[in-house]
Amino acid sequence: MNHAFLDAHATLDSPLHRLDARLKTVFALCFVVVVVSTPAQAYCAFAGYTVLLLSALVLSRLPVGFVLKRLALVLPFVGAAAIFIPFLPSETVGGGYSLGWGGLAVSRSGMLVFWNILVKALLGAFSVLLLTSTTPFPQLLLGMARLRVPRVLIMITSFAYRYIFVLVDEAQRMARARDSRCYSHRWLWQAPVIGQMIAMLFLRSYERAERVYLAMLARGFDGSLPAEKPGTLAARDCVCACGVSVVVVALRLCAL
Amino acid sequence: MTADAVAIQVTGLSYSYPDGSKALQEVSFQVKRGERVGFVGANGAGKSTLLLHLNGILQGKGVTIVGMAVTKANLKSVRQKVGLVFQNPDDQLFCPTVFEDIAFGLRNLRIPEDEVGRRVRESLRTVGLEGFEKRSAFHLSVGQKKRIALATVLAMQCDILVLDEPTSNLDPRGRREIAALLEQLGGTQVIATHDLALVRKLCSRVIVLREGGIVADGEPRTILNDEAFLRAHDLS
Ligand SMILES: Nc1ncnc2c1ncn2[C@@H]1O[C@H](COP(=O)(O)OP(=O)(O)O)[C@@H](O)[C@H]1O
Ligand SMILES: [Mg+2]
Repeated sequence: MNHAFLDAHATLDSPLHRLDARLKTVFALCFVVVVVSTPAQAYCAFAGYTVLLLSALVLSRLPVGFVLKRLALVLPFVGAAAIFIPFLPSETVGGGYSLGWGGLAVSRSGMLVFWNILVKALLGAFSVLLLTSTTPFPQLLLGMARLRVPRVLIMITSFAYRYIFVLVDEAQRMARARDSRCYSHRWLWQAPVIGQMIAMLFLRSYERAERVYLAMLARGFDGSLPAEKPGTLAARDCVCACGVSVVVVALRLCAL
Repeated sequence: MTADAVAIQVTGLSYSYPDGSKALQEVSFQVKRGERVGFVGANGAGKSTLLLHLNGILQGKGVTIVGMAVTKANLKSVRQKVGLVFQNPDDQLFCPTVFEDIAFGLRNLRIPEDEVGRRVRESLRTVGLEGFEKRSAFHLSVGQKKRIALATVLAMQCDILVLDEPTSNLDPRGRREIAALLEQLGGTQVIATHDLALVRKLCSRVIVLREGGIVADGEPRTILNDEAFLRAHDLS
């Protein structure tokens, strides 16, 4: 079975794909912080950020449809959190619009809060999306290791990435075996089957974890993990990161 | 026979799992250096349990590897001598890339990084999967996974190879490839399997296990051609 749902386009080749994983990680995180700290009324700054990300998207040669689809996944979550905010009564700021039914009114401060959440969530998701879909997962982990993220955390993440596929496979096989024996979701008395399947998946994962550990022991694993060497950054990558950082900081400053 | 010529010496080994099931009872045998021995037996006969003892994953009394008793103090040297390939490659290949998987054992031995890279490439070439370093194990076929699992152990340059069902879940071509690979590798090999054809082809000696004990030990030609015997021990 094929599961490339995590980093489907990470092995394309583009200037963005070739950039050092460490730089990309740090940059994406800083970018999110800068965006979140920008005041909501700084429309120019947001426009600037968007142009920046869009140019990165063009550079990355990622399929636009793919990126839009992934971004759209964020909307329901933001929407659920923010959809009622514009309708909150506002005592502090005057000038709302009455919608004329049921006493419902849109307040300007409410709109601003809504815009604030929406634009920041989208820009943040966009930048992280660019990071993860231009960096193969193993390289992302290596980047994290070189940034001195504790090895144990990296091991856990890497196990999760490695075995999520095995788990999905196992779950799919179980579901198929269940359905092939005329299971339908219609009857309440069949509900315990789901519980049993989850218990079974847990047991199998638990036993697999034990076998994996034995296989690690067999190759001399003694509980300590050799640290990753930090490796040097290419000068070209640094210059590029500095350049873009200056632009971002300038955008943020002009919003003051 | 000098002690030097003995790769594996097992004397009166018994083992029960914590739940009380007796997996091995009074097992004794000797494997010479350079010998290729097949362990056969029905499911649950105790093959896997026995193999786990050879690498010190399970530690019982009476197991000696090239003159070294398998004890806690000797574990590191024992594991450097004995490479264990597990039945299910998904248990053995747990890293995001093939390179990391093969490098894992080498890094545990604190081998310098440039030597690690060299050995990874070399072992991949041996198993016929050159250039697979950056691939992820989960996208490979079962046959490829099995060969990578073998490469993770080959890279450690162990004297003794111990393989648990190396041909299970493989199609005929995959079985043929593994057999050819093992034949070409040579050295001391211990192979647990249901695949009697593999034993006939590769092994100079076969040991038959049943319910945790040895019921036959000898040449495959005589033992594996005894139809009545095979049927009596659920092997055919
Ligand atoms: N983790 C375990 N816990 C309890 N009993 C086990 C465990 N693994 C194996 N056994 C039991 O030990 C016996 C030998 O099993 P095993 O060595 O796996 O046989 P084989 O590899 O020949 O199929 C079987 O009866 C099996 O049920
Ligand atoms: Mg077994």
